[in-house]
Amino acid sequence: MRCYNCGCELSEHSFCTNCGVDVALYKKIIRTSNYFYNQGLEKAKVRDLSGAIVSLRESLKFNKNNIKARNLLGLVYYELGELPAALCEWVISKNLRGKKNLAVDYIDKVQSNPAKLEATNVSIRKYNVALEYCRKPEKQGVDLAIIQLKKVASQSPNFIRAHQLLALCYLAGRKAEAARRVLEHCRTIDVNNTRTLRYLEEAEAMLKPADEKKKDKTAREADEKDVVSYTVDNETIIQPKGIREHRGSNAVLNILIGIAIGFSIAFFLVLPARIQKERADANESAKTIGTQLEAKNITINELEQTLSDRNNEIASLRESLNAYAGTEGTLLSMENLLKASAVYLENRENFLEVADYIREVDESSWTDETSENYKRLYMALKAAVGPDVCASYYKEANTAYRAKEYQDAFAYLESAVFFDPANADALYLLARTQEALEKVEDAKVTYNKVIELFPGTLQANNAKSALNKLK
Amino acid sequence: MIDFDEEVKKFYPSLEVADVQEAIYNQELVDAADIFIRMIKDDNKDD
Repeated sequence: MRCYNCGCELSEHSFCTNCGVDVALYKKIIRTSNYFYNQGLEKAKVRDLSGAIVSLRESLKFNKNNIKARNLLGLVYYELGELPAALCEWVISKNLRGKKNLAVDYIDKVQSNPAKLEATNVSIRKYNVALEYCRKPEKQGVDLAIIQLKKVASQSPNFIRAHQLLALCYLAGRKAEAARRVLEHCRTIDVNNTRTLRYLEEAEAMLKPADEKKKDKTAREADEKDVVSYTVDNETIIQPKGIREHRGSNAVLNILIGIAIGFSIAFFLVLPARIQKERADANESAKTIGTQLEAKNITINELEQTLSDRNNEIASLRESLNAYAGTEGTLLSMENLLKASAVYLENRENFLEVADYIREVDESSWTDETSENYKRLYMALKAAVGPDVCASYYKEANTAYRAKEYQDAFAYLESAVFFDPANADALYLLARTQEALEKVEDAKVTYNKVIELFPGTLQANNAKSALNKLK
Repeated sequence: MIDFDEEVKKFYPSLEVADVQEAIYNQELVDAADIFIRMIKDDNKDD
């Protein structure tokens, strides 16, 4: 005990040995507080929690700094399910003495379980709601209150007030047995709670006559019918004596009946629904597949079209390529022309070989895009060797004509005229050869050419005579 | 015989955990020792 004035530790004297103030009354106050604390502790030990609360509150009225009393009061509140009240006391205790105080541990334990804290909060809210239901006029909300309070009772088994309110609701609904059970539970937590005891008395009063009547009736029935009766919770079970169950055959029969019922249910209820579901799933799948198939067909068509376009493109490109690289292609023609040029440059007397290469060049494949230099080279070479080649072929053709080998003569003369179209003899002999080969129309054309190109010449006159004969 | 309505009046709503702070602030923390000390101080002032 410390002096209220200077804080010094007090001795057995009635004054403070440090500051000299009178502490006799102060000591009495503190002792009274301690007395009530001890009383509260004794009551708490025997579970008279309501009595303990009264004593501990008295203790704190005398000395609010009685940490032990405050902590114990918090514990008692906690045991009665009054968590907020408990926390109040512990927080005040912690503020009065922050160190070496059990209240600190209690608060930490409560706060370390937030789930339980929240559950307690929920229970409190439900209790408050139930109380509101109970306050409705003419007991209109009692049934709803019972529903809420049952939940609270299961979640917070120590919440005495909620249990007491539930018992009160049961009593209002004449459910004495249920009320009694709830109140018995309350009594295990707080043995001397006045309200609990009062309600319990009321419940037992409600139950007593009915219990007695029931017992008499049960006893009579048992005597008459030779039965055994007993009570389990809220129910009275009456069982005839001496009845032996035919366990074996009954069990088998029951099993068979059960199996038959099960099969019937499955066949008539479960199976059709299942079949329908499977069908629906199959239809759905078919639809999905159909849609996908359609999409794939569209894609295939598009791809085929693309393929066709590509093939056409390839064909066109191949054609162009062949135009350049084929046997009659431009590249080959150029190659032949280059060979002809090379042979001509190496030996001008070799004009027949030059002519062979020139014949390989395809003038008909020339276009506007054909190189001008290429054309010039060709024409120049042809002009250079033309007369000699023509003369040579004419000589051969003449020999063949005289030997009546008209086909050979025709071939030679064609080449001769190709290389030198201005050779009148070659042209005229060609016409004569065509006539000999009975190519009359071609002969006429050639005769007219001679007349046209070489007018007034001997060949032209001969051509006219020959034409007249052909007409 | 218990009167339901009278009994219900004796029940009061429970504090929620969140209301604890306000409850602590509203608590009267004057005890007999405080009254005694105040009385002594008042006596000393009068002297």
